[in-house]
Amino acid sequence: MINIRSLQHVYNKEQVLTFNDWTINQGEHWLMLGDSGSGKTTLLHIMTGLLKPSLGEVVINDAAIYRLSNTQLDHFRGKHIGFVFQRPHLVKSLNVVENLILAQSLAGLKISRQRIDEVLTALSIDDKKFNYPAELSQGQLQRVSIARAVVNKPALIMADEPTSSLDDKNAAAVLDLLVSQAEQGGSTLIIATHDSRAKARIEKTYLV
Amino acid sequence: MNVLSISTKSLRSNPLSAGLNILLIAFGVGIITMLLLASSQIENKLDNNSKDIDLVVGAKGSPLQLILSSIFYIDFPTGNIPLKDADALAHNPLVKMAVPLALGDNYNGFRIAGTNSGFIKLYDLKLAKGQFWKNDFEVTVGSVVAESQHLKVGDHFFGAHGLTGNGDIHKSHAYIVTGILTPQGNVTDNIVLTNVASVWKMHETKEVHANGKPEAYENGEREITSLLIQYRSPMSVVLFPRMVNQSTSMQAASPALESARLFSLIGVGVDTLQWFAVLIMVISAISVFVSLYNSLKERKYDLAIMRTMGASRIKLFLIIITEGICLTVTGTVVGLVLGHLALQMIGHYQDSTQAKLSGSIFLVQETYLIGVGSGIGLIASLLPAMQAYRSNISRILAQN
Repeated sequence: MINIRSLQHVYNKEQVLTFNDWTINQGEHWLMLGDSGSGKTTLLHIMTGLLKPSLGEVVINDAAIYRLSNTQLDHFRGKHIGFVFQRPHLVKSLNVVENLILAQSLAGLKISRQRIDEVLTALSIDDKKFNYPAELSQGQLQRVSIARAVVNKPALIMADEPTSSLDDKNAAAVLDLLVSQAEQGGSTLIIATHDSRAKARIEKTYLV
Repeated sequence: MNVLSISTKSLRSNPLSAGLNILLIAFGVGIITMLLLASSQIENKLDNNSKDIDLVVGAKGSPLQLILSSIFYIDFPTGNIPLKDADALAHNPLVKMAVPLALGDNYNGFRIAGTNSGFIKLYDLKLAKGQFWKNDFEVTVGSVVAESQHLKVGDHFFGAHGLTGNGDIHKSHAYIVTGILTPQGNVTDNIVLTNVASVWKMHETKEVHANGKPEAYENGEREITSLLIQYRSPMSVVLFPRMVNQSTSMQAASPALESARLFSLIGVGVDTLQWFAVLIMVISAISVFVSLYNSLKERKYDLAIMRTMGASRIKLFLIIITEGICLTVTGTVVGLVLGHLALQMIGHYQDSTQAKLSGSIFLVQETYLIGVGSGIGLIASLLPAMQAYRSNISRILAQN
């Protein structure tokens, strides 16, 4: 489903990051491990079309994503990839439901309130539906950002350090939710982390 | 969720800054609207009141004063002219029509003008009720006079000496209302019309005036205030005024010329205010720019996240542009409303009934203001929008 081949990224003109080739099949769950600053985020951005690599190719579902036009790539990303970041960046001017509606409409999909309710209920934050991001706790925000990542049933869920700013209880809950939501939707899940708490849940690892 | 709703929701999440920007634009547009409306109304009034009058002949003095008193009924007359001199001019072959005007009295601030039926033709007057004045002491009143003084056909009232105030009332004769005019949209709405003889007779009984000096017509010599003249041919424009000014003891003044002079005097103030308004608009454009630019710093994550969710660069560009245009167009509309309200209020508190301004008149030029408003929004948001378009989302997201 996802293939990376001879990827290389040069930054600040001289520092070179080289990544091993990696093949991920549909529905697999992977951890991308590495210390802070090792290039996890860089690889994650390269794999999702946010950062063009200096060398090499990323193929998702038989499409070499860097051969798409900018707008096509944006569209592809919106439709097939759901993101969860370390900090749950929700759009501050929109409430929880509106943030999910935004995800559906930016991906070019039909607005489905039913799907939104379903996801919010599954993540047990349906009582915060009409609250604004500023009114939610970190744990709640991270759950909303997971809801936003899975609402379009993406083929791939990409999480970048989703647990590192959470306490043990919330971290466990977030990992549970990510895994269960990925399983329900049949999505491929990649979690980039240096958090040892995640290793207990997911076996396949890729070292950066 | 389209671009417009994303933009308006973002604006609404920061109401203070949006409010300030809208207020600034509204202030600038409001001033421009007021100027636009007021100057067009004044110009209109000037044109309307003097539309068919080519020349005013009166006593020597300031030509502007002569026009103000005999066309707009605002200033004091320059004095009186002998009736026989006026008659001689009226029968000049260059003159098509000459209408006498005898001023001097008022009724509760509304001027009483003695004239003849030529005045009806000159201003194309129509009756709402009753009939035109015929005999002595019969009057036909303008629509505003009738309404504000609650005058009906058949009512009696006393005139007072002078052009304002009612300290010195002519108790010897009462005027009787025989007719009321339809609203004409010019100065005739605010005057009381009667024949010249009534004005003379009102003053024949020798009254002792406050200043003790007897008026000229009280000495038996028939006089009028001025003569409103219509030319027979455009040729007269060159010949007639010079003839009057050089060979008689009277002066001739052209309403068109003097109105233009008057308007150019007002124009200086209008220009100053206009530049002031333009300055406010420039400041508001800068303010819109600064607040969009600042909000971008705060929202760069929001925008980057939208890119990860499938929004294209163009979409982000449009979101920012829309925010700018929304602010300025809202401000413009608010400004238009404010301008109209302010002018209506000024009109309400205005003393002069002759030059009342109204806020309920709309102009085509106002729609251009909305165009100008969106233009300002576009220009002010262009740079921030370019920045949103060009932002490196990978770098922003990596800056966790």
